Amino acid sequence: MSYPETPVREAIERLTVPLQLDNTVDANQAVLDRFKHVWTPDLRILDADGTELYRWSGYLPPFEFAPQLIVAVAHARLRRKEYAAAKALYEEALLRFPTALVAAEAQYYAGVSAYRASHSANDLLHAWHELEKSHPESEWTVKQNF
Amino acid sequence: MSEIAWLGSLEEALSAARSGERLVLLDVFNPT
Repeated sequence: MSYPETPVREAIERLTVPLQLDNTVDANQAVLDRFKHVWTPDLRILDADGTELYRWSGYLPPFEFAPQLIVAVAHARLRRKEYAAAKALYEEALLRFPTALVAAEAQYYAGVSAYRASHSANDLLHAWHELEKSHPESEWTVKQNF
Repeated sequence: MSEIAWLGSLEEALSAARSGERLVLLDVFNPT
């Protein structure tokens, strides 16, 4: 279980309102149906109105869970057009967890959030150039080609 | 070591999110 680990607990408490639902409890079934729940672990980032902004599933060890959570909240902030907040979280994930599985995705969207904030193509291209250098084999490096 | 104060109801979590700057992390788990 990744939750007792300090970096995971710190990120959960700093960035989210944590909600856990047991999928074997009858009283939870209506909510689980609403979110089309299939399998555990099943993690979602929700807006205050209950809109799902990001999801991931499957076990991650602590050193992967913490960066995944930070990037998940960054994605949610990006979708809410909170570009500066999103960019800061992508950069935090990259700085603290540069070798995480989610790092290439964070680098890709660091560029997207920077571009959305500044409207400067240079911000996007700079971040994507870094992605090409740091993760040449990543699917996100493939996705940056246009 | 302190434990995370998980909420157990969606409405409670959404209400907490509305009164702050945080988003809700929903973790659906199976205890078995």
